[in-house]
Amino acid sequence: MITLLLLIPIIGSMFLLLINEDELKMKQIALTTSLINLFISLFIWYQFDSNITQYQFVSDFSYLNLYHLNFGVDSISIYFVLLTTFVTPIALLSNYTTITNNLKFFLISFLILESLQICAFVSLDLLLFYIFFESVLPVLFIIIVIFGHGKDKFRSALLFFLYTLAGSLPMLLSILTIYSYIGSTDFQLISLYDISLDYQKVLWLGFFVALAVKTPLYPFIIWLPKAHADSVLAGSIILAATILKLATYGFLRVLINFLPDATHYFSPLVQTICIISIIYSSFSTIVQQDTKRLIAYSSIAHMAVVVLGLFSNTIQGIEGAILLSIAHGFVSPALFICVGGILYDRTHTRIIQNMRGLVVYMPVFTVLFCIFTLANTGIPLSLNWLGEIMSLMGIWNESPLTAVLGASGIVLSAVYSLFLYNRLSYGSYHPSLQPLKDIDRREFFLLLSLLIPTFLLGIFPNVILDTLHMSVASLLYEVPSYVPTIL
Amino acid sequence: MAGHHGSLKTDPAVENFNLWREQHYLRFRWIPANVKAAILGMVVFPTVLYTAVNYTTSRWSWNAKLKGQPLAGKPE
Repeated sequence: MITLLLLIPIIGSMFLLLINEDELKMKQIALTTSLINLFISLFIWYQFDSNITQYQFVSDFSYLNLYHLNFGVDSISIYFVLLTTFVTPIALLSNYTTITNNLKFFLISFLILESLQICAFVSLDLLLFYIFFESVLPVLFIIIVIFGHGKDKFRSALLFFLYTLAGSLPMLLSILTIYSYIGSTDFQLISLYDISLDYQKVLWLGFFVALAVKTPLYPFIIWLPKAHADSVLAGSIILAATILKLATYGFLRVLINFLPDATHYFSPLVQTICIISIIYSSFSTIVQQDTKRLIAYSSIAHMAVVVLGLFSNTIQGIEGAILLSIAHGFVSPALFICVGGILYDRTHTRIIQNMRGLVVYMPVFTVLFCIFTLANTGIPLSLNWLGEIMSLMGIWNESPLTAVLGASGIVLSAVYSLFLYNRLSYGSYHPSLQPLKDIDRREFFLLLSLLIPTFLLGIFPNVILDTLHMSVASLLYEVPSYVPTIL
Repeated sequence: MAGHHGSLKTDPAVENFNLWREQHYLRFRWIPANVKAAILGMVVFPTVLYTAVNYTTSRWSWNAKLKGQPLAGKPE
């Protein structure tokens, strides 16, 4: 089953290689491939047994004698896989009409990117995880350079590539150290070993630098706003929705799972970095003039709240962090579609000062933009609110001061989100703007498909939480591998 | 190419201002004001914050406390 998830995008890419002239057929094949992957991942989720803490749907390719290829999902990785398969067709649809040059290359890149991301989330080996964690970099580099906008797109792509690659080198060193210490990089073997606190601290620092760059946390944030601003819309969507979640997954799977004592030891340091990230990035967001850059900076603040929840050492905090990651994976792409897709396609500008009074000619767009802006601030009934409140309640148990300062992020996010929405939507219609057409059917259904899960899961979070309890509990406590359901 | 063309008559002043903002980092110099801001923002505030967070982390336990029980420490 997992193998199908990994191979179907590759097979789709091969079909695309055979088609030369027919652009519509290429787009249909790519979209169909990504939708098939979505249905398979939904089927896996339906079949998933939430009473088991161990990995399920395990595919072991040891007989290939190539490497210790081992894939499987647990209740943490299943949601990141679902997010990846859900967001990929949305990313493809978001640029459905705008990419005309090198379309085949564009579609193949995103299908391969989907496969690589899923591989990272389902790997059961630390070195494999590292390989797929890094493998998305060259693909995204090419996507930003070839399909991106702006004069500085090469610099932005280079910054993204080199920052993340350099940041990941300490992680590689830590993985090699673990291999020399234990003799294997298999997740299940590593979790059996009791590494001493001194070793854990050194290994933890190596992993943390890589994951802090990817999240990103201060002071490693500079690549994200540039990468988002200069990237094509589909690239921004994938970057915001799933690439940043690779770091969240890394924190959960590696730091909290394998290095728990060091995680607890360094918790005050991580809390400090997260608070600084929230406050500094929120203030940076308020002064932004570029809409995509504004949303990119707001992503930094939200991911910092996620990391706060992860390091809360409570089930509530970690589950809240996972919920907020998923919510951010819906709302951030929606905001990028609003400003980087709908508005940019019509006006070819991202500068806020060039747009005003959009409600006059684009009322439907304004309503949807308002709803996603409010979801971004963490309005109740949205999944964002649930994730934030659970993360902050979790960190309250660990450090009330951190929770209070982290909550300032909610106020600041309201400031910049409503400021952006107000400046774009209301006031007199900008004199330099021609009357703009409101959103079309494709754009409407793109936004609707992101709106529904944000609020549906915000009202019924147990759809996710019921599955998460066992795996998250096993991160913090000793739990039996199977707990029967009491009817 | 798809999209709506000619919808916006760009204002050169707005474009120049935005370019100036984007290239602001190229004009960064270590003047006294910037040194002061860097020290405050990168040294003083993080140090004070870390000290405060380190002091308050795991200091109190809020879970399942009964009336009259102290907040200090974590239960066994």
